Amino acid sequence: MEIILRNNFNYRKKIDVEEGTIISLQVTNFKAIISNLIDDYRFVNIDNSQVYFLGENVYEEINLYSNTYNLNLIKDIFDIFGLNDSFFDNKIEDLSYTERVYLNIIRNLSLGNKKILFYDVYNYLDYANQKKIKNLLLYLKEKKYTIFITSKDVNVLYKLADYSILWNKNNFDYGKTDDLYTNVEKILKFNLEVPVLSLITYKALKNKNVKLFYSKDVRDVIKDIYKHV
Amino acid sequence: MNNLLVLDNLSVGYKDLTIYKDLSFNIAENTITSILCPNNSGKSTLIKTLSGINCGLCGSIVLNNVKLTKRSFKKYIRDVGVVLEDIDRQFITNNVKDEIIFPLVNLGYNKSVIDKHIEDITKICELDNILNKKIDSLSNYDKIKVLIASSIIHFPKILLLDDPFRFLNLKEQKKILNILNNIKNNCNISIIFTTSQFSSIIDLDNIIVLGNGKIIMQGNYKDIIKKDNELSKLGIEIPIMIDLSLKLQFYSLLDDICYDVGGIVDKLWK
Repeated sequence: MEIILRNNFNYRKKIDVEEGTIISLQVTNFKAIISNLIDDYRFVNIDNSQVYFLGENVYEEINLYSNTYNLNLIKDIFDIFGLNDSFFDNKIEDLSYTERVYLNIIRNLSLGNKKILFYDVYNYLDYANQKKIKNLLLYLKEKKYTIFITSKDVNVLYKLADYSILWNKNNFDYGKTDDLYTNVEKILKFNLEVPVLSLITYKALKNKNVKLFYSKDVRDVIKDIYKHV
Repeated sequence: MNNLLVLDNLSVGYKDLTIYKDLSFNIAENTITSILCPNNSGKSTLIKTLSGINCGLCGSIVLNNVKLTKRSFKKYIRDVGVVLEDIDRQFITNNVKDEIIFPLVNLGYNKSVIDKHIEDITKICELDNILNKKIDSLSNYDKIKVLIASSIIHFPKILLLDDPFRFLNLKEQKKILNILNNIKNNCNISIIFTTSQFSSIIDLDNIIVLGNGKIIMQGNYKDIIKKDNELSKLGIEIPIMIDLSLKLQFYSLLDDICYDVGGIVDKLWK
């Protein structure tokens, strides 16, 4: 699948995206690029301070949003989020922040679009809820959804994405996350953020001539450090 | 220091659901206390209970020697300022200045007193640039500042904030913490805020960690950080630099918590 992206400096880029992949966006201005994707991609903002619900209760909200929703899909998402049928009866005004996140995701996915953009994917969620979102992403991947993600925290993008886009003005690269985020020189040249674990490996070699492996797992990095100290 | 707020075996929740059972803790005068707990664990219910909006199931809340009861309710809430979680729903007017002075107008203060109060609060809450703006045009950061200002304009004894950092980035969080410190120091108001984010409590002296319906731990930042495993079990995410430092400390590779990568590398390979 081919996608054309444009930023507000009017640089256009064409990328090939496979179905069933998670693609992270680390770009200097989301708005231009998102406005570019928004025609085709369902936009799910995890930060729901700007999200408005129209229904009185959860059932009404999902019904309002979609009259062709896929019951099996909703059932699966309920399972992933650990919700039961009583959630349908909850009044919107009584929902907690996390429950609003759940509802916002469910109502957007129930529309049936298999191209999704999760904006700030782990925003203000604790470990347990991050794990649920991760499980949802894996489930959607398995169902051949194409998923773009953004996050304030580059470490989250490094952990979750299969492919990544780095883009600052005319500096652009797209490729496998493992390759892009271990090329620290390039990320620094682009003036973008480097994941902490990649930066440690990079600085250990550059400043102290110590060769560590690149890893996404903090425990692996610590084991490696232990061997080299 | 004298105790300003005393909770004695307070149970919090709704008729058919107890969220916290037998909570007992004291909040001293002129302090900032953070209540740290995971998502969906009843932060809002606790703040609503402390502010008198919800009733406690049992136990007692005493603020400034006034026990919260139906009869004492008016006297109790006079000493409480509160900012709830859903920031957009709390505005009554559509202008910053009107919003801030609304409690005083409502309480019948005269114009000269109102003008003096707004002058003081504008300085303390850093509102100079937005005082004449419309609420609709404000960012989340500015909206929180306005809500805080409006909650303390009548100089209560305690300010309660329900997850004020939720919609803010780290820089904005630090600025709000500075404003809270200003309020504590200049207005003699104690502050309690709830949060799910570990980054919001860094360097605080009074932290209460709640989870599974009870107090899990209590202490200052250094005490709390030592129990990182318990925090993780509760579902509270520890920022990656702190997590890495703690794990390196565990293996005796690092002496202290380090907040930047270059520092860690320099300390590991001196």
